[in-house]
Amino acid sequence: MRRLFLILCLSALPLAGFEPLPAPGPIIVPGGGDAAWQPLFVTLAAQGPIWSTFTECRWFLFRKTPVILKGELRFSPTRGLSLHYQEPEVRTIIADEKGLAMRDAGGRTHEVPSDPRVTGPTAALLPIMRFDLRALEERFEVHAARSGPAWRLDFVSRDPVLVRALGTVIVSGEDLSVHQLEFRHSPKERVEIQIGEVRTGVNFTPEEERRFFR
Amino acid sequence: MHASRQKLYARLLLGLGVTLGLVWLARLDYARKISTDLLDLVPADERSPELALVRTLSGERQARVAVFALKVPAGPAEPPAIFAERRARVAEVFMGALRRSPAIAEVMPMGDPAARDALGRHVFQQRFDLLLPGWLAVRAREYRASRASGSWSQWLAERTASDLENYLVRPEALAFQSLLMADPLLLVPDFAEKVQGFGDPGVRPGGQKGAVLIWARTAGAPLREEGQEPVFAAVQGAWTAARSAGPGTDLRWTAIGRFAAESRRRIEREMSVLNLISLLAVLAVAAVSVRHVFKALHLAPVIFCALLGAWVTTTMVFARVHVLVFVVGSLLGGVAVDYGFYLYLQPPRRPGEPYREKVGRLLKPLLASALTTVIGFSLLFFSELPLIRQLGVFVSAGLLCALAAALLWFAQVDEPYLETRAFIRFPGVDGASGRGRWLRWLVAAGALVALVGPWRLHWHDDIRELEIPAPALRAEDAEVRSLLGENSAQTIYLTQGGTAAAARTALERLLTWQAGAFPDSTAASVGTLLPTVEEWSAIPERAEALADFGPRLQAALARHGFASEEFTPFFSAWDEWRQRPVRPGYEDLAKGLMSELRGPLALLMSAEPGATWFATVTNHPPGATPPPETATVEAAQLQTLNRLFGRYRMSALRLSALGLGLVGLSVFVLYRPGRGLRIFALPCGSCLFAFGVFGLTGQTMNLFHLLGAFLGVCLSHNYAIFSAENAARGETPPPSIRLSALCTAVSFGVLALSHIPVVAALGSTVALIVLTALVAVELEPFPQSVPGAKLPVPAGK
Repeated sequence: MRRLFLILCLSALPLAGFEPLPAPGPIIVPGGGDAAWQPLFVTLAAQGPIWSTFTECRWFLFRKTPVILKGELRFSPTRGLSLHYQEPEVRTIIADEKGLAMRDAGGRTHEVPSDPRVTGPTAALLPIMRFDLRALEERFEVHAARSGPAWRLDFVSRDPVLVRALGTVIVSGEDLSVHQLEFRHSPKERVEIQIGEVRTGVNFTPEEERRFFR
Repeated sequence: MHASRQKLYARLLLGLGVTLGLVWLARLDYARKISTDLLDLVPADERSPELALVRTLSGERQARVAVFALKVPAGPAEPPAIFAERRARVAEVFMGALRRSPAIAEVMPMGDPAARDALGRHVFQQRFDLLLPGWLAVRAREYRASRASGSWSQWLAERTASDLENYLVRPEALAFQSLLMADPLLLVPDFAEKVQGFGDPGVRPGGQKGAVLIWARTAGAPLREEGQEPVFAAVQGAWTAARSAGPGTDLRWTAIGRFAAESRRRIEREMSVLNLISLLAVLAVAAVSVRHVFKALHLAPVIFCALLGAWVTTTMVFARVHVLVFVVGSLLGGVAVDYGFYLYLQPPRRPGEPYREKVGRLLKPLLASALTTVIGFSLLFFSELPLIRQLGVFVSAGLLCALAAALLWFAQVDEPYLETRAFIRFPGVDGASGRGRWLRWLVAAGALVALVGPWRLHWHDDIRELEIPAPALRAEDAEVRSLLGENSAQTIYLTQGGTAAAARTALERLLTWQAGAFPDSTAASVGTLLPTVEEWSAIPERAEALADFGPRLQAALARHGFASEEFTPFFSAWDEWRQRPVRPGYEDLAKGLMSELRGPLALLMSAEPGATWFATVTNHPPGATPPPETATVEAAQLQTLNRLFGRYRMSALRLSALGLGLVGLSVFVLYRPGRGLRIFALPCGSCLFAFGVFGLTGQTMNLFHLLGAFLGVCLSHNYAIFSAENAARGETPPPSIRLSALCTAVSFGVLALSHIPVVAALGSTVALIVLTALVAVELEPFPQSVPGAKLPVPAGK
């Protein structure tokens, strides 16, 4: 029993070890405070292709406990973003220049209409994961906060439709690492994506590119 | 009858006929009478459901769609955000101008979610009427199959909560989270997943490539002139406005009305040019063949009266006549002039021979040739195809009028004889001479072609050949479609029924067939928003059986970790629906759904009185034909119409064969079997030779080659009769045959130059057959009854 408890505690360590900053920071605008944040954006943008594990917690207004999903995240500056869910169902979501697509466990892919209310958070994540501050400032109102090594970036879309669909996109991390992504409508309706193990500058094999991108 | 009185009566009769005819034509409303609509070429009461559907579509809003691609150039170094804003402003100016025009009924940007939102709202509000019956039917089947021990209501509540819990792990759950408290049965999310194929019809992600795509519906019928010009003016005005707002703005657009207008313009231009060239060609033949060219003008009234009679009769018989009948029929002149030639070019037997006497000896071949041809063409009146019926009446009436006009006109001419030049009266070849033997070998070669070539014929009908291709418009249409991202790996089916219930039943059969024939593909249809008739009629009973479903579901939701109190919107709506005293009728349900389909979505269904249809989008390539019980056709109308035209060709072939049989029978009766067979062999042999040439040269044949062959056979039949009559009198073939054949050949040869493929087919077939018949008459003249052939010598010479 003690061994089981130890295993559970160890597996929860990556989640328990990081606490995002509780409040958004002030708006940063070009030439007005964004210079201090440029190094972070430049470093994050230069990471190249990324592979990571993630745990997604979905909080619904009508459900007492969150729904938990686990999987692998792949980001390629050229191929786009791929979220490969492994638990409880195998499914892959791909966001790229063509739009959004879903691929089921059998490998069948279907495109999702380009309406932001349908494409949801994944499509919104793609430009954010590129961390191009100039481009992001055109599409989002960017709030930034820092406390010690911890930082928090809040992205509020300039498109009201997207705001209604996604709420605020919050990216939190420490030093030069992203630890959590969050889509927040309200405290009771939100999606948290906690980043686990991360590998940057990876080279995806052709097989991986075929399976997880399009 | 005294000659002067004969002239007077002839003039009176001619004048009366022409006056009445002109008055009739002057009173016609040509816009209503003459059609350029391609679909008017096929029967209004066509029995094929596919064509009935195509006809319905052409008159409905589906045919009124226009799609615009507005290309606004970016300024030098213009920031993307500012450019996007300016481009949107230009598009808004363009759409605003279109909206202000009464010619445009509806305008919206492609991909605009407004139409989908409106449908989504309606489906959500009516979810218990539209989606619940089908959901309950599926669950009831599963319940029966599970042999569960609990009550139906209990089983259903548990199943619903479990499905909802599983659904929350799916990506799309986030998009629907605000809806789930009012729809824990997942009626709307399930449907949304099934119908992704038509979520945004016509636009694929990434398809727009920098252009702003705009969808519009025109107010007027696109195949009629009044539905075209105002639209063109509105588009031009809107484009001008857009260019003012965004200099350099380019526009590409496509609409059925554009093609129809261009087709009409080209046919009208071709009609004028062909008629002029044909007339000039006939005059040129006459000029080189007769001694006094101006005297040849006496043939003009015959042609004029033939055409006048044909126009008057056709417009009297048919409520609406396709313009193609006049294009093809205008070449009737080449045929009508035959009777004039035969009468006018025959020299008097003796000096001062009265006209009545001349007519008396020529009347039998004239009547024989005219009536047999008319019998043949009259049979076309029984064709299924309006175009063929109209052509049959046009040619038959024209030929009768030509004969009557020729008889009357030359009755009032002082000297009804036109002398031909010597080469036209050339006596022909002597079969016994060396040259003649060589020519006989030529006949043998022709016979070989006639026997072998027809076996190599390939038949194919394509409705596109009825129109003149408009390459510029087609290129623009292809460009707009490529911007739309048209998907060739999709098949769109149209399922129809007399009522919404019948159409929905047929749709269910289609979906069953589709699932069996293409198990790995999906099918999306707005029709599945409606329950089937059986599901709808089972609702009162099923609602009654779920009296305690509400509390049971609340308990089940709580057991599965849900805050059941958050589902109050669902439970209120459920109770209200269950206690509703009256439910709508099935047809009203369909009409209500139809009224909520806007913009491009409105193209997916129609619920008109007497005809309802649904579109189904599948993700497999076109080609498979659903079985008849599905009452479904592919939306690719061309293939459908081509198949029908193939069927019409077979029908025309049967009628032509029957007509030919009648013509042959008439000849056997009039000229006895021996001579009749010889006469009949000439047109048939000429026709076989022409088919042989087409077969050996790899020409693809169509319905119009067949019609041309029938016309050519009737014409060459005239030559055979005239030739046989002269031979019976111991004379060489009359010069009228050569002149007539040459005139016909040049006038139909002109048709062969037409840009309308089917008209060219008709022209080339007739020209080849009559030339073959002429050569045959020259090379193998009919045996003369009186030994010692002599040239017809003009009186007084």
